[in-house]
Amino acid sequence: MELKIFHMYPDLLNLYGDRGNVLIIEKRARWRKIPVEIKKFTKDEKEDLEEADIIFIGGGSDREQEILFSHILKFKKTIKDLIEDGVPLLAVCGGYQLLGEYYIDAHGEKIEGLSLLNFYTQAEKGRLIGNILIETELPIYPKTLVGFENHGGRTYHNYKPLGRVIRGYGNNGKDGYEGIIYKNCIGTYLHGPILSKNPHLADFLIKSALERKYKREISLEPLSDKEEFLAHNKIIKLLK
Amino acid sequence: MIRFWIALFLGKIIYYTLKLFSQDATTLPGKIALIIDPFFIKKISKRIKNIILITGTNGKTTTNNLLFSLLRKNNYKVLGNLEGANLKSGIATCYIKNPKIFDFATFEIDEGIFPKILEDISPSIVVITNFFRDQLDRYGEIDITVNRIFKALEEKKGIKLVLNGDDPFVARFQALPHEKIFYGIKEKIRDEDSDIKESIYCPKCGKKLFYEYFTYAQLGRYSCSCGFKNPEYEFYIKNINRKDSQNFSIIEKDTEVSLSFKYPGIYNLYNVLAGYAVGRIIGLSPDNLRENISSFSFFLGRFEKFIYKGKDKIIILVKNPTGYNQVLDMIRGDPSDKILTLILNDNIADGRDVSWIWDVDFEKLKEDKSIKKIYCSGKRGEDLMVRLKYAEIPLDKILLVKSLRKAINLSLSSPYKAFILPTYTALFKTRKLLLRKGKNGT
Repeated sequence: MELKIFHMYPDLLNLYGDRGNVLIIEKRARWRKIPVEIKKFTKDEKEDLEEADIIFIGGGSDREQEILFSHILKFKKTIKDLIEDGVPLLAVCGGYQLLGEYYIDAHGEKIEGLSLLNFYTQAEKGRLIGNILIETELPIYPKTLVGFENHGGRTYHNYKPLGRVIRGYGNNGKDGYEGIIYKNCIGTYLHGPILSKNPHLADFLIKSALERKYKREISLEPLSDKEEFLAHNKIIKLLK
Repeated sequence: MIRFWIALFLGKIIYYTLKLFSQDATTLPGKIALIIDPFFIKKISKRIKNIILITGTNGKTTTNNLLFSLLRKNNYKVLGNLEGANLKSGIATCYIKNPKIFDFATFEIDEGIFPKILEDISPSIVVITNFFRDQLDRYGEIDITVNRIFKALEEKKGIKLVLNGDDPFVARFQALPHEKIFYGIKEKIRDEDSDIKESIYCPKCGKKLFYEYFTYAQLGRYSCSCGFKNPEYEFYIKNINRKDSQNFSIIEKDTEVSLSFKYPGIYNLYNVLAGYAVGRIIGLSPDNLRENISSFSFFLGRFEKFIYKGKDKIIILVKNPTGYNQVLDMIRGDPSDKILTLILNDNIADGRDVSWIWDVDFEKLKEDKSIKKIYCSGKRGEDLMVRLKYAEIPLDKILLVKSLRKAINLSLSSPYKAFILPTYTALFKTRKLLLRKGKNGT
């Protein structure tokens, strides 16, 4: 068994330490003796995206997102096919917003998205900032996911959410939901990086990727997640 | 004016009360004064002839402390926020402590509130050090910060700008009509570079910048096909001793001055340069600067050395990935057996989002056998532990010590040299705990 992880535009979409997510997937696979190859997908290189077993998209500044948009647009169909085929994709913050149809910025200007999923985001007054605790609908245990959110955009959609907000704001601070799930594609506002304090979510991505690739049920060798859950539980405690 | 006097008076009372109970008195007095009189800073600033502001992400406190000491040594009356309280409340507190007439004030100003401060203060010189990822949760991305500072300066005439020409973000200020003095390092100093770079895309046209070399992070010698490149330096560093980077020369036109600086690290070369440039601008002689820069010693928490049972216990403030990486490089260059005590808080002044520690290359420490133990402490010590685990530092070396007091006691009782790395809000308590037991060595 082996895994190919595609890290999308690591030189541009590199805010808030989210690159840690790729490191965490890599290490958790390696610790189980599953070989991993990390592909840095950038504007200059043309990697074979079709080979991706897991895709990660982080967030960047507006300027940086603008720089790469015309490039990523060329790979829209490939990414869409991969999502439909069940490839786990994790998109955080700006990356999450990019999956949708459009983003309306603070000046009321409409910025095009990849339209991989049918939803939109709009900037509203005030940033939603703070630690967040949600209860997820994914088949993982524990049901809780924790992280740090920091976004001015409010996302509205009718898909399955990543979870129900217990403490914090979530997609838009109104409907009580956070993130999005479509097949194995996950969008979320959670930083931390999200996988650092939610090793069960990292394992969900690895397991789903292997099961899709090797077309059979796979049970991952358990790891000691003592440190990760100390950090997980610390956030829950801080939010009480 | 009555509001002003009440604000000053109450501020003083709060200041002395806090001092009496040996509490941190660097912001609260000013906070209260500003509530009573929102124009407090504007009014009291009139008592100072020349104000120098230092902003940017890293190097503010060092540059500010250096400049302060250079002026003091020349018998000027100087006011400065040396402890790094760089929000409005910190500046106001600084005045409250010393409401006299001064020749100079040197203030470091948080880059996020710089435009607001410029409404109250009319500086004669502004130093801009660099822009890195720092406490983004408060201010949004770097571009926004840079643009805001640019606009604020655009509206204020008669300021001399002292700018780091090696940072493409700072070089954007070329476009301002002010008098500009650029400084930089005109020499390749390292062979490879693995640090994260905030932006290696041209701020003018968006194309990828070509680098001849990097000094650290995104600083270096860069150019773009659109013509954007390092501005001509008025002051630059050359002939750096590659072993310790503490001996080098500064060149200004035809004058070359050989200098030494007690504190290692490439980032400190930029701080020295900024201090030297300002010193020259206000008329200090090269000889005078050389002497006082060489004898400069730090004031607070930036490589502050304590000695306990014959072993060095060193505090270094850490607050963002770029600075942290530089500190880790320095530690790695020190061959003595040692322990590390990492302290991470998530209060507003530290940045509430601690995910930035994932941009620090702790992987550098993986193979380092001279590091005997790493204690993780602070409000978010658990997060540090997870980060170190994924950097594959052996788990038996890492210990979570929730209580800061206990972590400091362990650092002191260890038979090894200790590097203690707190974030901002943990610094004061860390110092206090160390002062109680250790002998201040600087």
